Amino acid sequence: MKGRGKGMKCKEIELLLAEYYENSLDPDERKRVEQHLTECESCRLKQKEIEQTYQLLEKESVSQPEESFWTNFLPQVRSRIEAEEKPRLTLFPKPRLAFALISAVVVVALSFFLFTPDKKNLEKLRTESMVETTLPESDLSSYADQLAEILSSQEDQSLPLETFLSSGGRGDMELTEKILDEDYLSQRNLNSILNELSLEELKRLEESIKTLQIGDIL
Amino acid sequence: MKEKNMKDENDSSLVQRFKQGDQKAFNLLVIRHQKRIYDFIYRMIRNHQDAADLSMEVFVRAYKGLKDFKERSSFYVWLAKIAVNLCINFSKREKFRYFLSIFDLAEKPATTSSPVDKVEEKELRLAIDQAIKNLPPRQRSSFVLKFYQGLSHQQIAQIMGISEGAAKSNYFQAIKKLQKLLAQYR
Repeated sequence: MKGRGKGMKCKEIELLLAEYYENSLDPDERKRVEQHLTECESCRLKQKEIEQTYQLLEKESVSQPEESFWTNFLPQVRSRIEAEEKPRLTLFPKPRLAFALISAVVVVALSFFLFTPDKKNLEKLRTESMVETTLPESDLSSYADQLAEILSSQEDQSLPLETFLSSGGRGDMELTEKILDEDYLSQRNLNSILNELSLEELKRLEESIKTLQIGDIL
Repeated sequence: MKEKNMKDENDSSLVQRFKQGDQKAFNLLVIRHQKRIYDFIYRMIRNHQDAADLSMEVFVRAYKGLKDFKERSSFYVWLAKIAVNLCINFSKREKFRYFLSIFDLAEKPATTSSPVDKVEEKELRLAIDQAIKNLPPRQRSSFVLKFYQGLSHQQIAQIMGISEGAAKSNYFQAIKKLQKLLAQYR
């Protein structure tokens, strides 16, 4: 307990050491610090360090400007004031307005160059993207068309998916023709349909496709 | 009123005269405070060229703002407030000058001394320059205003727009840091 009390007191005193050196403490505080310093060696050491730091800072000599600097000081201040008070004959008397206007022009110009469609490139990109999004020419893709159609016809309750899968994809010929005639766009639904199939269903579909013969469709 | 009589007038009276359109009153305010303001700025940024420029700027701003000065503080405290803001902004913008200022030691020292003393003095000045510049702007302002300008913590609080306790704390933190940074020179 004694040690803790002493520590707290030291911390408290430490905060007053600079003011003690500056002689800006009130008499009571000064007396308290002096009393503590006679008892505490650690604080005496700190006091010595502060004293030396102050003396070092006080020792620093700073060169002063020559007298001519002071003689010219007021005229220079006056000429600066005059220069700032002179109305500026500029196109834009308010710099902020000019800045806003220039920024607006730059934004419009940039948006023109950045957002005007480059028809040549656009066409090229469109073709490329079509190639990329077209399913690879494989058995799976052609039969996936059929599946998409079957699924859509499932809504009409004409041929359920299960039936298609269990019959190994050999549906009736009319339906197959219908599938083949269907617009390419039906592929758009295909990905989502395939995603919804379970692994087991996909396996069965794959099997069905493998066993399916071209004659079955034609 | 004759300029000679005006010289005896206090700041507040000169401010009033200026507000009524007396330009000479402003001139007297500049002459009266130029050295102190310059000294404060030099102690803050430790570079004569910039101190000269910024101290003139303080008076240009004072001229423009004086009509709105409500005299809630002394004229010098108001002026110092402008100087503190300019110095803090300057320090923020021109941090790289810290390195350049190391070479800004070709100025003549104020006192005549032996070559050995000169080297030591230079070294000490450089150390103090760097130590003060290492202080955060608010601690630096509190330290310079108190240590070199002799202002009270209450006045410093007014200048910096902070409580007296915060001004005191800034000052002691600055002293503590300087004590560490200058330990090898003690």
